[in-house]
Amino acid sequence: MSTSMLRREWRLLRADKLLGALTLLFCALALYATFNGRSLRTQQKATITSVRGEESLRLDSLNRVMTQLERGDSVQVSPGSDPRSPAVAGRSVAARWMVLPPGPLSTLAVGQSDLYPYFVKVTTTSRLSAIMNEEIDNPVALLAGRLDLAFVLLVLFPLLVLALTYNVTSREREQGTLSLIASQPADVRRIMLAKIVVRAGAVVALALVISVFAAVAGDAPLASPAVLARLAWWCTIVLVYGAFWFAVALAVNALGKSSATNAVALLGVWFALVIVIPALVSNAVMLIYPVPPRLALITAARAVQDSMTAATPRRGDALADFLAEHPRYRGSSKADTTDPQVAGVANANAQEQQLRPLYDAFDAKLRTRQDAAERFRFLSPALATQSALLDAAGTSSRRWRRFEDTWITAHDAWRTFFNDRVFAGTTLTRADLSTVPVPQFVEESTSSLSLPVGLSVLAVLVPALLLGLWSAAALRSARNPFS
Amino acid sequence: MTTTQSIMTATSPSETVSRSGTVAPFTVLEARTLTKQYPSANGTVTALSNVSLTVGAGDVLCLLGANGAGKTTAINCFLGFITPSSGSAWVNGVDVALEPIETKRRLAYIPETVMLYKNLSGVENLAYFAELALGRRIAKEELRAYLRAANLPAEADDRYVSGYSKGMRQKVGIALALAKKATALLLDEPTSGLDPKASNEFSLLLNELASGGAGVLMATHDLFRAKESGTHVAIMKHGQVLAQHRTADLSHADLEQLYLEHMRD
Repeated sequence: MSTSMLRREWRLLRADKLLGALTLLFCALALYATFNGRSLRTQQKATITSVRGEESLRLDSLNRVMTQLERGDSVQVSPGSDPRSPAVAGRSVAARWMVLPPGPLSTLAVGQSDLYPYFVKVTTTSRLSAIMNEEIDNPVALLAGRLDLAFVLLVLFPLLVLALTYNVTSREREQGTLSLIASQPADVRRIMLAKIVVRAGAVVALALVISVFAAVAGDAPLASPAVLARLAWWCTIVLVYGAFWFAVALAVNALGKSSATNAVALLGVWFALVIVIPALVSNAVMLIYPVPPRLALITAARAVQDSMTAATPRRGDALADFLAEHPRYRGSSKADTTDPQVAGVANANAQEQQLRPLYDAFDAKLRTRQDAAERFRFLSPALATQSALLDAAGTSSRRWRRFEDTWITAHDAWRTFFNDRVFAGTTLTRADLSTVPVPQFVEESTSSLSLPVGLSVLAVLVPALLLGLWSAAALRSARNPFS
Repeated sequence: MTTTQSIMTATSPSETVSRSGTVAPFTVLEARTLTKQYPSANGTVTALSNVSLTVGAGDVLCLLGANGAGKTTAINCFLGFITPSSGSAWVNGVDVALEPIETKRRLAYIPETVMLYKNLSGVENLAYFAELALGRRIAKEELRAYLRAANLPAEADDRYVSGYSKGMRQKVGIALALAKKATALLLDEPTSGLDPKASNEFSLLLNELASGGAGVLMATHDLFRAKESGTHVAIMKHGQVLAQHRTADLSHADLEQLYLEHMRD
C-alpha cells in the first residue's frame, strides 16, 4: 500500500460531505462533553477550595485562641469549646478535612467521581458520621450520568467508525465505480485496505486530537510526567478501541454483502457490545451481589444512634468495653467515668462498635460487586475500554477505594492521637497540635496502573488482532473482494 | 498537429496500421477458444463456447447479439473479471490469466454507464482513476487537456459529476483511456441510451482513437452504429460467434438482414 494510494483515498474521503457533517457533529459532541467534564472538575475544585478555606479559618482561629491562652490573656472559653482539651480539639476545632482531588484527567472521564464523597472530615467521632454528613447529589442527575468524553468515545466513536466504513467495499459495487476501479492495474484488495486505513487513521487521529485538546482545555496538570503517562495510556486505549472497531468493520466488509446488510450487521455488533452486554453485566452484578442503597445505610445508622440516645446511659459499660479493647489505657488515672472527656471517648467508641458492622457489611458488599464488575469487563471491549479509561483518568472506583482506605487509616491514627492525650490528662499546647497526624491522600503511582489498564487493553487488542487476521485471510482467499 | 490530435495519436503503438486491414495489423486483443460455464440447478450453463476473436490495432470489432448472447462475458474475460473455464484471453500478446495487472495497464474499459464518484468533479474523478491506473499524479492541466480531447466542455471540468449526462460520463471514460494511453478499448454497449447526437459524437471519438492505433472491442445492439464505427462485426448467439464480417463488405441493409437471419431460432 503506497502513500500515493493513501493520499488518493484521503482526497476521496475528504470530498464526502455527509461524512464531513458526521465528523463535525462528533466534534461538537466531544467539545460539549469536554465542557461538561471541565465544569464538574471546576465545581469539585471550588468545593475543595471552600473546604480548605473553612479549615484554614478554623485553624487560624484555633491558633489565635491557643496563643492567647498560653500568654495568659483573658479569653472566655467554655469547657465544651476549650481547644486545650484533647476531646474538644479532636472532635471539632482541630479537625481536618481529607480530600480526594479530582482525577488528573477527570475532565475526560467523570467516572465515579460524581457518585462518591471526595471530602471527609477526620475527627474522633464515629467514622460513619462523616459519611452521613456527605453531600447528596441530585439522584436523577446521578442516574442519567454525565455526558463526558469517555462516553462519547465509548458509545459514539464506534458509530462514527462504522458510518465511515460499513460500505467501504459494497458502496463501490453498488454505485457502479467498482468496474472502473477493477479495470485499473491495481490490486483491489490493496485499494480496499487503503480505504480502511485512511478512514481509520483519520478517525483515530481525530479522537486522539480531541483527547489531547480536552486534557489541555480541561486544566489537566500536563507538566507532571505522571499525568503525561496517564494521557499516554488514554491515547493507547483510544487507539486500540478504534482498531477494534475497524477490525470489526473490515471483517464484515470482507464477507462481501450489501451495504444494507453490512450496516445492520455492524449496528447489531455495536448494540450487543456497547449496550446489551454492559447492561446485562450491570444487571447480573446487581442481582448476584446486591448492595443496599447508601441511603439505607444512613437510615440504619441513624436508627442505631437514636436507640443509643434513647437508652439509659450506661457509662460504666461503655468505658469497660473501651478499656477491654484498649488495655493500654487501663492503668491511666483518667480511666474514670466521672471525667467527661473519657466518657465522650467511651461513648464515641460504643457508637462506633454499634455502627461499624453496618458500615463494614455495606462496604464489603460494595467492594465485592465492584470486583465482580471488574472481572466481567472482559466480556465486552466496551466494558474493558471503559474500565481502562477511568483508570487512566483517575476517576475509577479503585481510586476512590484507595481514598477510603487512606481515610480509615487516618481516622484511626487521629483517634489514637487524641485518645492517648485524653487518657494521659494532657492539656494541649500549640506544639502538640502541630504534631497531629494530618490526613493526606497520596496519588497512586502510574506504574501501578500498568497491570489493570494493560489487561483491559489486551482484552480489546486480542479480539481486534484475531478479527484483523481473519479478515486478511478472507480477503486473500477471495479473488475479487469487491465482487 | 493540435494538442487534441497529439493526445489521440499518443495511444498508437509504433506499428502504424491501416484501419482498412489491408496491412496485417498488430494484434491487440485475442480470444482463443474462450469457454465459460457456470454451474446451475440443471447442470451447467454455457455463457461462452469456443469463442475465438482477434482485434488488430486500428480495428473496431463490434459484437452484436441479443441479451445473454455472451458479449459482456467475453469482455469480462479480457478484463479478468471472469476466469474462463477453458481457453484464454490475450491483450497485446499477454495472457490475462497470467498477468492480470500487466494487461490492465494497456486496457481501457467503458461500461454502458461510466459510474464516477458523485462528490468529485469531472477533473477530480479523472485525477483519481488516472492516478490509480498510472500510479502517479498527473498535472491538472494535462487532465484538462485529456477532457478537451474527449470533447467534454471546459465548463464541466470542475462541476460535480452528479450533474453530468450519460454522454458526459462516457467522455470522462474516454479521457481516462487517453490518459492511460490504452492500446485496447473494451466497450460494453456504450451508446445505449445516448441521444443520436451524443451517440454520433461518441462514435467519432472512437474512430479517432482507432485511427490513433487502438484496438476496440465493442458490445452493442446498435446495428447502425456498428456499421458506422466498426471495421468488423461479429454476431453472437448462445455464447457462440456465428459470423464475422468486415463492415466495409456490408451495407446497412445487409448487416440488418444478416443479423436478423442469425437471430431466428
